[in-house]
Amino acid sequence: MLKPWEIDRRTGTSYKKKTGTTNRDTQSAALSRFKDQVGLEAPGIPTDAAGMTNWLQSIDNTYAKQKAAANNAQTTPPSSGGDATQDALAALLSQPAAPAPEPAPYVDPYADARAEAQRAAEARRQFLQQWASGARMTMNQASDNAAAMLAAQVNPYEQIQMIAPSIAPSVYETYLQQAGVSPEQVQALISVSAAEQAANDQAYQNMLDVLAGSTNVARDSRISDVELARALGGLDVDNRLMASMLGVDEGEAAALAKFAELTRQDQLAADDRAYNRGQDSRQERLDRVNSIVSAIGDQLDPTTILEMYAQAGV
Amino acid sequence: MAGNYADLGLAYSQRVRSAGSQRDASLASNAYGRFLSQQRGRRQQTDLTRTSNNQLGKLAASYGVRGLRNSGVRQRGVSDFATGVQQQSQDIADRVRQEQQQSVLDDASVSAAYEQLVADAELQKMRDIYATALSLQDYMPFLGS
Repeated sequence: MLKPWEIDRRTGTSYKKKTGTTNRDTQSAALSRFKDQVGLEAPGIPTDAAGMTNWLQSIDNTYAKQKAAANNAQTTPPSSGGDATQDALAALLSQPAAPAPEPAPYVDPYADARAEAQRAAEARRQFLQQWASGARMTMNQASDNAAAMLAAQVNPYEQIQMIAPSIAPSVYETYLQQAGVSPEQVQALISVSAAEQAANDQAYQNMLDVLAGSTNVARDSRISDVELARALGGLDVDNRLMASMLGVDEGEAAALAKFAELTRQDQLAADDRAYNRGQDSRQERLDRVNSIVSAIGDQLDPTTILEMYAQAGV
Repeated sequence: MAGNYADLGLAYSQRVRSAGSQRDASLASNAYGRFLSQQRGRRQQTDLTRTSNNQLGKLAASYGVRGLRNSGVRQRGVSDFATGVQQQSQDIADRVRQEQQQSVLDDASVSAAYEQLVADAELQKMRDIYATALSLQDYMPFLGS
């Protein structure tokens, strides 16, 4: 049976048959390939020619021992010292089953931006509330001033005093008596004059009442206008505030949705990177096992090979 | 609407000043009219008194010349004359009084018009303040926070 280093891996034929070289020469060529495939950092593998000769000899010994043990249907536990190959295999087998790479805790790179968007939206809401409150206060103050001014207005028609007659009846009475007019006639004349005065004064007062009432109605109407304007103005402020608040809510929701999408994309990318790292690690371990199996697999029992592959995560 | 928020006080004061000037001019004109009316009434009363006294003396003398000094005819004639004079004097006094009342009414109308103009100016100022507050609220979306 040919050893691994006696086989040309490209053609699958024996070096011995093609070249006629000695067993030791083919072993050297195989050693070179093994070094290339496994790497010098592999535990227990010497780096110089003399050491490598000894190491290969120890593999031969191990192979013979395992062969004998297989023939005797007995399992020989790997030795812990003295044999480099046994040590390498023991080290490899002693390694715990390769755990799945633990994913690093995910850190959202947009968390700060999201918090800032929420803070800005909240600050804007407070700003809008304060502004609306200020507008309401201003409008209320203006309304109060106007209502107070209107209520304090004096109605000029209510201030008019009736003018007293410029000539007292006694003057006429004296004059007429001196002229010899009878007392009855004097009284009749005075009565007629007084009646005319009274009728005139009543008409004048009626007119004043109408004008005063009209003025009071106008004043009351203006006061009503003030209260109506106050109510409508407050409603207008509320409507504008609500519209502004809706705008802020929509802007905040849009920003959060945008950041959520960015976070989702970032999480997917992180998952891909973790998956690729796991794949690379497993492939690397598998490559190492394949190298060992291709190099010395025929010296190992199948159980050991299966354990190696299992540890490699296959 | 939004452009005049800066001159709220100026616009209000301008309206009130203009109304005040018109009111003061009208009140002064009315006062002068009252003075003229009173002056005219006094003069008419003075003239009536002077002429009536002269005419009353002549009337009494004419009855004496005709031997009717103490007759009933003379008494009736003098009584009618005196009554006529009294009615003229009363008419003059009533006219002066009515002119005074009309003048006072004009003063009240002028003051009422002024008060209404001031009230309208106050309401306009209030509405301007409203518009300013609301227009500033319109700017909020552009101010950021």
